[in-house]
Amino acid sequence: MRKAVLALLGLYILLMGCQKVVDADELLDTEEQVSIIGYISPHDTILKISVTKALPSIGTPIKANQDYAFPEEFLIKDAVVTLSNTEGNSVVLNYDNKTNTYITSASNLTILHGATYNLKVIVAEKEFNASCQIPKKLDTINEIIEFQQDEFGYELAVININFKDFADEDNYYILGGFINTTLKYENEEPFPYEYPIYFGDDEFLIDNINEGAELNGKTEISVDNEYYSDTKITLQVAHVEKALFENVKTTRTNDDVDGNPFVEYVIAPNNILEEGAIGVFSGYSVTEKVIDLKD
Amino acid sequence: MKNKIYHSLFFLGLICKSYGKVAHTSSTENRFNVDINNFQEPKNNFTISGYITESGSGENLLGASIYVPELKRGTTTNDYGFYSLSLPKGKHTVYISTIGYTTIIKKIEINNDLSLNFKLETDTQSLDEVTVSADSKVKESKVTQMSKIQINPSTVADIPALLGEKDVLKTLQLLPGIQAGSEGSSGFFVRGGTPDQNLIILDDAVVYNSNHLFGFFSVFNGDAIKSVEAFKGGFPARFGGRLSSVIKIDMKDGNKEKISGKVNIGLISSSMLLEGPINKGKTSFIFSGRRTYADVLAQPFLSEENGKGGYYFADLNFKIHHIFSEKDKLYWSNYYGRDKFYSSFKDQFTDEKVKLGWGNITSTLRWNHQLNDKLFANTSLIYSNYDFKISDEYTDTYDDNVVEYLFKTSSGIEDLTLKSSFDYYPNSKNTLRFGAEITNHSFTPQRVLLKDTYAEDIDKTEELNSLEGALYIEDDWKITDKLRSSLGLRLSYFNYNNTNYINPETRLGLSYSLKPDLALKASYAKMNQYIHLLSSSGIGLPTDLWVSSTDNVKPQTSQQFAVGIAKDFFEKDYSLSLEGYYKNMNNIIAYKEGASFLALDNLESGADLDWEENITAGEGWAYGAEILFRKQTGKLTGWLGYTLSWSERQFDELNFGNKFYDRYDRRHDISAVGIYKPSDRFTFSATWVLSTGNNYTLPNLQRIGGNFPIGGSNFFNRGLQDITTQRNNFRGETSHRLDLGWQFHKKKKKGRERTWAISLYNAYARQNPFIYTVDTKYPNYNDPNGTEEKELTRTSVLILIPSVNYIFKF
Repeated sequence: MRKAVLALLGLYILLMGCQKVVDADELLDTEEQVSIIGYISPHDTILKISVTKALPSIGTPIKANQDYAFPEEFLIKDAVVTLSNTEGNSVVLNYDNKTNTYITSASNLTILHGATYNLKVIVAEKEFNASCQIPKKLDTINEIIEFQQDEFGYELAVININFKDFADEDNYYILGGFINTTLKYENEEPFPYEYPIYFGDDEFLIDNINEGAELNGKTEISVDNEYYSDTKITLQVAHVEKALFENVKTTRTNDDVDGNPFVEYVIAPNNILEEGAIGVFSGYSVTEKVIDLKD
Repeated sequence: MKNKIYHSLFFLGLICKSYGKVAHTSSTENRFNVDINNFQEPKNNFTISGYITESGSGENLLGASIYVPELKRGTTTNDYGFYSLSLPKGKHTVYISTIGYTTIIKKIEINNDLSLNFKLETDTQSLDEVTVSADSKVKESKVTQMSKIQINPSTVADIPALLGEKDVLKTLQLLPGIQAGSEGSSGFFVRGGTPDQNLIILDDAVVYNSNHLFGFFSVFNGDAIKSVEAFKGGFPARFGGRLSSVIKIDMKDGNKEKISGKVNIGLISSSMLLEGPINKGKTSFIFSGRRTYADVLAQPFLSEENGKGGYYFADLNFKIHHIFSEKDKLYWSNYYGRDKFYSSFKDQFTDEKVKLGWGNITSTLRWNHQLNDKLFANTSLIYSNYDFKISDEYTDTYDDNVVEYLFKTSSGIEDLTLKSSFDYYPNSKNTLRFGAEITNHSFTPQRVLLKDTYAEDIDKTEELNSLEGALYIEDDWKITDKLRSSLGLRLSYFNYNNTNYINPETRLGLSYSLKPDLALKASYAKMNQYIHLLSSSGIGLPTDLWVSSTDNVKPQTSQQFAVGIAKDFFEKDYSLSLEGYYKNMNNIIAYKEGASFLALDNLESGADLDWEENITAGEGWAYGAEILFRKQTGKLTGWLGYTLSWSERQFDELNFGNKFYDRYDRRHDISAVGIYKPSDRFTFSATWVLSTGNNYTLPNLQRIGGNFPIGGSNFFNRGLQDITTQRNNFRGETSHRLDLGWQFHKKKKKGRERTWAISLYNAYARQNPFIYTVDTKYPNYNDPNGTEEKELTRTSVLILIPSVNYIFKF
């Protein structure tokens, strides 16, 4: 149906219009900035901060035939990246060529629930700062799993996850998880396989409707014995800071509506204090629960 | 019964008078000691009253002037051609005039109350430059009302139009303060407002969707229209329910003397009009219709195997006017308009039919009753409906398996209104209007019917009902020869479930004549709007959704201040007006970032869509200045308009709470309109418009996305991300366009006339922006040094569109 509406509109435009590439420089006044993204958690074994260039979206040539995820044009390899806590402990993160991020072992700076951390990034003698506070960890998460058959007769696990919101403040949660299983195809050797769990519309939860209430999310995963065995489900609830929540959700929303001319782009959040950089430095904590389907 | 009416009037007069008096008294004791003598007629004064109509058709003329120069007294006819004027005993010379008609100058002697009807002849001398005697016609510098523009339907007919489709709303867009949305659209934005803040009324009935074909044409068929008035500010108390404008369109009543008509054959549509007496002098009718026919012409070239389809829109107007007596008249006017898109596909396996349709229906029954020579009443019963429907039905047959699928969704609004209004002319200094109205709104934000072989049936309807009412009183008061005021109070009421809103709205207009042809003006208007349009695009898509104020969604409110100067040049019949305005809007609504009603994928799944969760409320500011230089008589008529404006918004949930410029924030808007009629055989017209580009939200930066390890982001957010750092961060290119029109008229026997009309839309083929998109230019991957780059692509529409129309009047 949506296609029909867009096709009708498109047909009309095609009949009476024309398209032309225009010079965006005079219309969209954009300067290159530094992009800083870092999410830290007591759960981490490696602390990781991404410091790259944010380049004008339109009119910037990017060399093709390179690893698409890390185009050279965006990389900044000589930044000075320092993480510190409020007690005066600090650690300088080193550039890692594999991940193209600045990293250090979590053992160099202990990340604690409720503690505040500062990030200082120096790029070409310009200093950028941000801070975050690690949210509290949920005590427990509960789940109800029901098994159903899908329309083709395969077994589905319908997972309802719920947990109690912290009552004293605005809270933001991201739901996820993964499945470890042994996958078995006809005439092939079984092999271990891990795949993520998506909670769809329930992935992003906030407590603005009922402070301190039970929050819940629902998803369905295929667990049919014909293909899967020794299946373990790991459910995760991340209690995250608002900036992290908005940054992740903004990216997701913009991906979802990409190409739809009737939906406005969502503005990217920014908690870097100085001008010339954009990004989010933010904290989160993770609560996990593992369910073995053999039980 | 009469006594009751007089009592009511007395109290209304009392309220009105005390309204003026209280401002000058401070003691409680004096507050109720009201002198009502000013409302009583001096004993040697008498009243002349009656109707002014067009000679030959009997059509009521609204806004016609009755003026006695030696006394500097005058009035204008109301919406039904009625006037009432108090004059002292004796002999007077009365001028009866309106633009486009020959002025009548009549000497009368008044010894008692008189009933005088006048018939004005169409001005055959209008091609000449005529010197108009000062004050005889309604002049900008002589009326209290400001921010109002009246358009003559003949002007609409003369101005060049896209594909020859004469369009009232597009003509209004050529006036300062009223701006077009995107190129070619009949959607409009008044003084920094939004399209839903425009109250568009056709013979008292609200028209909810004024667009055909995604806004390229308006629903108003110019053939049947008698008058168009646009209020941008200084709203009279009789109007309410919208923040930014009132567009009042009145249909013709129908020729009471003879059958006449008009046929217009154009490239994409044809229209016809027929009007005449049913009972000569008593009952008349008018019928007009219009339909596009591209779909009909294309049918022979389509087959069901390859997919058939088409699109059309159609309008029908029908009105009956019956005169029971001099004092009682009945009007029944109706409008039906529909857009329809349909397609079908059929082969040995599949049979599919898709339909989209949307349209308005309005019906207004009005009863005029003249209670006496000073009091005129009208009661209206009004029905208005707008709906949007989609249906998709298919059957797939494979072997013995039959898969059936039926999906229908609709949304709409339906109103039933009862309204009574009174015009009271107590003396030569005051004209009072008062009345009451009540409307029952029935909203259907969404109705979904889904039948699928593989899924459970879904049949659900979301409905909202609300009640909107108002009481109002306004007084156009000539305080002195130089100072006039228009005072108004409107008490609006809205009910939804257990939520009631009662809001007083003050209206004030002042006019001070510095010279006979120069006036200073000021106005203030407070407005409330209880129903809202959720629009994803602002370009008038049928998916735009009307919704009610609810417990959570508060009414929109605004306050507008305006000051201005009106100057008339009597010698040449030019007028010049300069106005400045400031408007503050509260509780205006917008979709949350990333939300849209056009998420039709969700619709088809039958998933719950709660529109209240998808919207957010905020504040808006609009301010600017407008200049209008106008010439309405002579061989060359037209106007030059310029608007300098700003329109800003702030929503806590948009743009991180920071202020931003509205999408249709236009810094500069210029329009020049010229109509040249050197003889009665030829008309040449041209319009030129220029406007600053619209604002768009486009990605301005790209970066490497940071992965968050929990949830779907870990999977989805790899690679490069486009980001936007500011809402409406991009201003499109300036648009400008020249339209030209030529009309060749030939008079024939028995008053018949044929016209060939040729028009050229966007004559110098300017590629104005319709929409901007960001596309990727991919490299040759065999080239090791190849680069890819995002480009900004401008889509332009309506470039050099010629048209020809054949018009035959009889």
